[in-house]
Parts: sequence; C-alpha cells; structure tokens
Amino acid sequence: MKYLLFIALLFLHGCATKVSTLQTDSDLVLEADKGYLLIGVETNSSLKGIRLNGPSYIELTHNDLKRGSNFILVDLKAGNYIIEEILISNYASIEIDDGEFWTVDIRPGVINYVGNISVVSRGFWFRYSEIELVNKSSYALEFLEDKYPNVLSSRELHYGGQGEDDFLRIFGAKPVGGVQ
Amino acid sequence: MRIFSLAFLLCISQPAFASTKIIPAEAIFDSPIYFDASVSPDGKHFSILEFRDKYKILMIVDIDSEEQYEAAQFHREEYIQEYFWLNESQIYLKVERKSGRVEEMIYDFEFGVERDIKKFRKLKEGYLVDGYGADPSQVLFAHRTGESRRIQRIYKVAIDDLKMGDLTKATLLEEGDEDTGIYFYDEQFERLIVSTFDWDSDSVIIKWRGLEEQEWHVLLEYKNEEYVLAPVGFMNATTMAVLSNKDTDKIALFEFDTTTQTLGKLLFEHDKYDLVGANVGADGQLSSAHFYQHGIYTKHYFDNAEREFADTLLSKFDGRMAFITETDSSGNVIVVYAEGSDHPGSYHVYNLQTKQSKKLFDLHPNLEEYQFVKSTPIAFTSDDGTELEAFLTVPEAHDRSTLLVMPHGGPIGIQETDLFNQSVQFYVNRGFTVLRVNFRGSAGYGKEFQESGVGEFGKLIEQDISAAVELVRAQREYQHMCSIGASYGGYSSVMLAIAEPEIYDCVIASFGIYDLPLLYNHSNYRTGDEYIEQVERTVGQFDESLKAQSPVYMAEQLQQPILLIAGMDDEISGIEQSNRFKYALERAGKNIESLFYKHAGHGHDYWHGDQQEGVYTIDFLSRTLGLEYPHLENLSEHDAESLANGFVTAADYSSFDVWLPQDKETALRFYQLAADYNHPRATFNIGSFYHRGEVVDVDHSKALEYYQKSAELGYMEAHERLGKLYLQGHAVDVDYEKAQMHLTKAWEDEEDFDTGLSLGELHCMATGELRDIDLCLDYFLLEIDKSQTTKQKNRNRNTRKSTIARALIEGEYTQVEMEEIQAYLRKLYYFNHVGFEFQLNEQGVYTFKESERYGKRGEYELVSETGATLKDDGSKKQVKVLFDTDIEGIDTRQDQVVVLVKWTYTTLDGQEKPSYYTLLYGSPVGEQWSSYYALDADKPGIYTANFYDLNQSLVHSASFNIQ
Repeated sequence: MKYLLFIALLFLHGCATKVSTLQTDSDLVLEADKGYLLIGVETNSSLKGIRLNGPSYIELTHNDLKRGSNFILVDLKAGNYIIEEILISNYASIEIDDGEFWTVDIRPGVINYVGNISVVSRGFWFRYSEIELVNKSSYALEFLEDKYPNVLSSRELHYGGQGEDDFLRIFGAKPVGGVQ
Repeated sequence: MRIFSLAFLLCISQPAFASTKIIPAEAIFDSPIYFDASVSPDGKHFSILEFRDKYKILMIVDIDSEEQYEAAQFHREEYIQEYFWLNESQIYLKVERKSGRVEEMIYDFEFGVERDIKKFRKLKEGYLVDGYGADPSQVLFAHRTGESRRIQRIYKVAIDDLKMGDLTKATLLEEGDEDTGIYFYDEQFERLIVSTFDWDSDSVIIKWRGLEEQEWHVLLEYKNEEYVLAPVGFMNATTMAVLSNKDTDKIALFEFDTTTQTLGKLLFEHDKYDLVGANVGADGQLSSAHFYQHGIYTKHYFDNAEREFADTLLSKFDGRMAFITETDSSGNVIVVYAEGSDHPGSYHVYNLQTKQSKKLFDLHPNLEEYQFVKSTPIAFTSDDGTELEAFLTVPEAHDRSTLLVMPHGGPIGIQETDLFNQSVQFYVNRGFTVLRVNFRGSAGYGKEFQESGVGEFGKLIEQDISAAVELVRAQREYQHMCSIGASYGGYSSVMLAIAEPEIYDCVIASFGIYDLPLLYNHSNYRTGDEYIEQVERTVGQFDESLKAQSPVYMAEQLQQPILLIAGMDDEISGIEQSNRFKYALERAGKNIESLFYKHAGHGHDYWHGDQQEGVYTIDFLSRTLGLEYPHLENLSEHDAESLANGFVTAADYSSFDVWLPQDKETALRFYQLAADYNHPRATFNIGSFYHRGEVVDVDHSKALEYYQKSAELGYMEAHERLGKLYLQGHAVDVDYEKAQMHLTKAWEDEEDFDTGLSLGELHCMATGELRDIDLCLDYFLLEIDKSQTTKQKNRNRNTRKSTIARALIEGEYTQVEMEEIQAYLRKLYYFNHVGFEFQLNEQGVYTFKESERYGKRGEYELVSETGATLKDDGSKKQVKVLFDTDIEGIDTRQDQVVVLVKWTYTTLDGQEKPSYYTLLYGSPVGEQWSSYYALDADKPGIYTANFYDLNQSLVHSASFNIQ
C-alpha cells in the first residue's frame, strides 16, 4: 500500500494540468479562490512548456510558447506559485533550483501580472539557455488594453512578480484618468 | 619597446575657422580608418592597422621615405586583440577569428617583400608574457594547458622555436594554478608578476618573484573597497608608486610599501582634481602626474628636463592633447597620438634628436576636409558655493540660435572632457550650440564631490546644470533651448524641462531611466541585496519619495514636445523604463515621438544607428522649433549631398521593418527631404509611393514624373522600372521603343539579370523592328552568376520563370516561333510533352493550422472552395489549386511537362493589380502539383488562377471571392 501511495503521488506530481491562454475577451465568472495569471514569454526558440507549482500544478503549453514575444492569460487558484521548470524541447529542460527568485503571487479576483520570462538559448553543439523574469508591466498593460479590454475593465490589476511595483496599481486603476 | 606610462598632455588655444562644410552623418559617425599604431625597436618603421573595404590591413611605413607596405590582411570582422614588434624583423599578433577562436602568430617581416598570409605560424595555445625585452631572440610564453586550458606554464623560449610550436628546448620557469591571472614581466627589476584572486578574502593579490627564485612575494593586495588603489610603477625593489584616495579626498600619488602593504609618503596631490595617471622613469624617479584640468588631460612634471621636452612637443601639435604611446628602444623615436575637441585624432612620429615631427595618419582621413569647433571651458560656482566646470561648443557657421543642454550619463563617476565628441560636433556643425556640465557626482573632482551627487536625481544635479545654463544665457540670448541626453542624461533632460518649462522648448531623451523605483525591481535577479546595494550607490536608499522624482509619474507636468529614444535590447536601463514613460505620456495626451530601435541596446551596435538617430534628432529639432533646412540653391553640391544622404539613411530605417517598426509616412517624409536635394534613389522611391498608393493616393502621373526625374539624375533602377512599365503597360500605355531605351540604358550600366530578362521579354513581345525571337531567347538563357548566394540564385531562377511565363501567356507567336521557343526552353526546363490533361484535385481558400503536438509542423487546411471572409487573426492564409497532369498513354517518370500559371487580383472596386506569373515543370507521376497565392488580410477582392500549356491553351481557370 505504501508503494502504491508513493507511485500515485509521483504520478500526481508528474502530471501538471495543461492550460491555454484565454481564447476570448470575456471575463470569466471566477470562483472565490481563483484569480487571473498574466505572464509574458520572450523566447528565441519555441518552447515545449513552462510548469508552475503552487495551489495547483499547471503547465503552459507549446501553443502559447512560440518563438517571439507573447502574453498568456489564464485563471487558476490563488496563492504563491513557483515557476518550477521550463521545458526547452523534447530533450532539454531547465529545473529551477533558486525558487526564491521565481516565486510569484496570485491574488483572488484580480489580474496578476507576474513578469515576462525571458529565455535566450544559444549554441549549437553545446546548447544553453539564459533565463530571467523581467518586469514589463507597461507591455502587459498595453497587451490587456489591446486584446482583453473587457476583462481589463472588469478586474483590478496586481503586480505579483518579484519586488514591489506600483505602476499597474496606478495606471491600471479604473476609471482611466490621471495619475494618483 | 613599449611604454607603460600614461601619456603627456599638452594644450594651447586654437584659431577660429572661417567657413564650415556640412559634415555627412555617415562620415562623422563611423569607426576610425587608422588605429593601433606602433614603432619598430630600431625606430625605422611605423606600423598601423587600417580598415579597407572588407579587410583590416596591417600597414608598415618606412618613417624616412614614408613608403607604405601592406604587410598582412585580415577580414574586417576579425579582431586584432593585440600586436607588437618583437624585434626589427618579427611582429607578434593576437587575432580573434570570426569563429571566436583566438590565434597568436609571429610574422616574419621584411619591408617591401610580399609575404603570403600562410607564412604565419599558429602558435600553441597561450600568450606572450608582456614586457620581456632582455633578449630580442627570446620571449616568455605562457602555455595554457589542462582540460579547461586554465593551467599556465611559463617558458623562456627562442622565437624561432615558438613560431614552429616547439617548446621542447624551452626553459620552464613557472606553473600556475587555475586561479592565476595574466603574467607580466617587470623589466626594471627583472621580475615575473602575476595577479591572483583569493576567494577567501575576496581580494585581488598581485605577486612577484625573480626569474631565478621560487618564492613569491606579495606586491599589493586589494579588496574592492570604497577607495582606489592602483599601481603606477616601481620606485625601488620594495616601494611602488600608487594612485589612491584611501586617505585623501582626491586620488593622489603615494608611496606604497610592498612589505607592509601600507601607503607611505604622499608624493603629489592636486588641490582640485583626481589624478588619472602618473609616470615613473626607469630609474625609479617620478616623472609626472596626470589629471583632467578643465577637461584637458594635463601633466604635472617633477623633472625640469621633462617639462622642457613637453614644451617642445607642445609646439608641434597645434596645442592639442598629445599622448606619447610608444618609443623605439633608444627612446629617440616617439609615437605621438594627438586629439582635441576640434580634432578627431592623428598619429605622428617625433624624433628627439632632430626635434622634428611628422604626421603619418589621421584616424579619420575622410574628416580631414571638415572644420571642427573647439569647446570653451566654463568655470562657475553654484548657489551653495560648489565650484563647477562646463563646456560650451558654439557653431562658427549656420548658427540656429539654439542652445542644446546635454547632461552626461552615469550620473556618478562619469566625466565630460575636452576630447573629440562626435555627437557634439555633429550638432554644432548643423548650427546648434551645445552645453555640457560636470555636475555634482561627476568623476575627476574627488570623493566628496562625487558622493555629493548620490541620490540627487532631479535635485542638486539638475540645479548645477541650471546654474550653468543661467550663466550661458546671461552671456547670449538664444531663440530656442532644448535638453538632450542619453542614459542618466535622458532622465535629466526630462527633469530639466519639467522644472523650467518657460525656457525649454523641447526634449530629446535617449536610452534613459524614468521610473526610479523600477531600478530596484527590474527583474527577479535584479532584486537581490548585492544588486540593490549597487543601485543605492547611485540613486540612494529606496524610498516612496522616489516616485516624486520619476518622470513616469510626472508625465502630466511635461509641457514640451519630446523625442523618446530607446533600444529594445537595452540591458542597462531596460526597455520597460522607456515604454512606461511613453505609455504615461501618451495617456496624458502629450506631444511625443518615439524611436524604439529593434536591435539596439544601451546605444547602437552599428554606426548607421547613430547616423539615423543624429539625422532624425536634427529633423525633430527643426520641426519642433520651426527651423528650416537650407534651400538647394544656397548649398554647394557637397553640402546638398551630405544632407540628402542623411535623410535617406533615416528614411530607410523607417521604410523596412528591420531596425525600427515600419513607418511608411516617416519614410516618405525623409525621402521627400532627400529628393528636394536631388537624391536619385530618394526621388525614385517617392515615385514608388505614388505608384503603389502607399501613404499617398495612387497617382501614376506623379509616379512617372518622379521615376523620370530619378532616371535623369542617373539612377539606373529608375530606367529599369520605366522600361518594365512601358513594356508591360502598367501605369502607362505599352511603348516598346521607350521600354527599349530605358532597359538598354540600365543594361549598359550593369548587366543585371533582371534587366536582361526584361529585354528578352521585350524582344519576344514587340512587333516590328524590335521583335527578335533569337535575341529574346538569348536573354532568357542568361547564366546565373555562380558566385551568388543560394537565396540570390533562387530569386533569379524564379524571376526567369515568371518572365518566361508572362512572355508565353501574353505574347503572340507563329507556329514556327513557338517551336523555336519550345526548343530553347528545353535547355532550361526539360519536358517531352507540350500538351497534357489538367486534373483538378482540390482548390479553395486555405488557413494554416498549428499542430496540436509539440515539434510537429502545422499545415494548411481548406476552409472554403469558392471564397471566404478574411479575419486578421494572425494566421497565414492562401488561395491554392492542387492538381495532377496527365499525358496520353501510360505516364512514367520519364515524361515531363511544363505548366504556365497566371494569378490575377482585382480589388473590390474593380482595379486590376499587376498579375503574378510562374512556370511549373515536372513529371505527371509522383506528388500532386500546386500553385498558390498568399493572402493579406487587408486585400479583399477576386483572385483568379489561369493555367496554360505550352501551346498557350487555357487548361483550367479558378476564381475565389475574398471579402
């Protein structure tokens, strides 16, 4: 029974729920313990997936992780998440071992922008990747205004990435107007 | 012989110039053509590197006769990290190849004798230990070994053995470990010197030992503390001269006891300036101490003979800063590098015995014809009594009565000097006065002065600048004033304009920071304690009040038009800084223009970026301040060309979606400015705008007018374009005579493949005397240049298919002519059947769908057989016909046919656009055939595909209605 439980736990841990970006600009009726995650990805090669572990275990899939810049908007359970693994391809992945730098905060009922994951892969025979979670709040706000104006108008914005930043609180505040 | 001391510096005032030519942006924003000069140990030869076309040349000059000899040639992108003379006949070079591999070589030199580059001998991996000159036939060589090549073995080896890669007869002197740095040789005291990093104490330790002994002695141990400690030279075996500000406000010259590791006697301290260098003679006697005085590199002499020598030298170089970079082994022949605010740099040799100097090379010979302006130093005192310095550079011609206030970057630890400044001279040449200030926080004035700028963003720093502005404005009234700066200078420019809206008319802010709190949380790896500590050394402690000094949160207060410039790959400021400010300004409804370069960092990697930025900035100033460009009739041919070429660089940047986001309106504006100065290509491009109806309405008569003018200005692509238009009847009626005249002119200028094909088409399509099927086919069979890239070759092959298809579908031929054409075509596209049956498989509108599986390619899926409504959802779409060909009897792989295709596009309002033709060939057996037309979301209309065989028979037609 012990073995079975162990195997079952492994299985559960290994199976992240694959999530895709919100397809339409319609605000979802979120459960009380859920919020929106908004994350940017800038990569010079298409990625297979990005895994975040926290109150739920999710994987952003390759459809949203093509070469170039993109934002992904998904709903998930609120709480602290660690960006745990970046799947570079079928054969390579980066397991994050300094989780304190990759912990993000998802608050319920709001849009939580956590940063843009930058993945720059170099080399041919010896391939390596440089990763960083960069604060690009203004680009995130422009993205929401362009692609999800309805969701944006319905929800508050929160910066859930590393450090403290008031930009989204000030410029994402509704109604649109002067700076406070 | 190499000189380790820093340079002499001398200066006298410069005479004013009478006239000023307009300097082309591409001339002033460019790398020096000549650089890295050296002299042979016997003082007979001078060597220098030269950029020439795609190459980097090692030039050697006979100093007496000035005869030049091209010793070696490298590719332009290869980086010569280092080179120096080993003796009279051998030169050492360290070259980084394009692959990134570093090679070291010894070049056997004999003046005037041609040497093959292959004569260079690749050495074993390592480097020559600097400074060993005791025996000209031997060198000290550091051989890198071990798995990671980090273990260094130091050998004394004969040069002739080393260049053959033979270390078997060499003497092993030392074996370092993985933490040892680069070795040096101290010729004065015959010691080997090396630096190591001690991980336990987090210190750099410089050690020495005699060549014959084994024990190492600590020379200097330095931890990255809050003070400077830099060695200058040895005064005796245990005492060094060092520059330090450990115990003083200014960086001063001290004795340093290497046995006790303590500072000793203060040797020299300037009362106002930090020392930036000093010189100790071979006998251990102090020679000079160096500092920037009013931005001019100045030398204090300890020795009268040195002072007299400097005075003599002073008279030879027009008072510019003169740096001795090297001498021969006798010390009599000196290489001098001269530079000044009005002089972009030149190399000279000076003979101590004859007291004669000779200029050998200007760094920028293409700038020799232009006049530059010397800066005027300004000393002033701020309200609180702090002494400050500034530089004012005033145009001597074309004065626009406009003061540009240009704060420097940093702001902590950076210093304005009186050296040549490309940007300053560019703006001054265009008629703008430039003011630069060494405000509090700048380097060169001591610790207290530098630290007094920390955290003074938008406060004391800008007050210092404003004090200088007030002084300058009291001397002269300017009609306009703008602030302009990069990095911190970008921030400062905005803050100055916000603080004094009544005197600033505009702002140009580049690569700047505008949200101070963001400096503390730029990314996850830039929020740690070490990083924050670094930020605090410049900005001060994090505090909510930083917002009150941040332009992002003050956007409402900016009253002036602003040009915001940034690099998308800026790793220092971060693009988020500029984008936030842009967002805030736009939201506040401010007058903002932006240039966010796609492939720039904290500045440009390529000179054309600086050129474009300079030209655009001048244009922004001109438009904002209502300044007019000079009229063509008031300009010399040279000046008109200088301005026009700059406008074209700016236009090209906006025309293509490469360096900046595409902006056709801006491109057209700059092409128009260039065309006003009769620039041939710009004139042609404006014709294209009217021809295609981009930005402006389609106007064929205007297009023709510009094409015609461009052709008259000698632009051959205009002749080619006109030739094709008259040939195909686009925008004009078909006129074969005119087509022939234009195409022949273009062909005679350059036998371009495209033009040749058009001439071929002309001789097939024309009637009367111009019809010549043989000549037509000769042109169609033109050979593709084998030296072209695969991309160019494929492009030419497709152009040939398209031209032949058009000629065959649209032309009228007799049976005899058609048979002749078919016979010729077999030489290009093998086929053995002229007719075939067209069997349609599928046709319609297709959309590209990504695969659900990672790593699997997506494919086009049929969405409609007849037509569709286009959605601009980012997915690729096309209209396509999939078919088979069938010949009579049983098809085999040996059977080959040719299919001619014509795609036409008619807009919803009935305008027929130029058709697209192509030719397909292959076997009826195998994969199915296809032809497609890629759709643009903004181009609805009727798309028609017509398929023909080689007898001009229509075998299939399909139309698709795209809404």
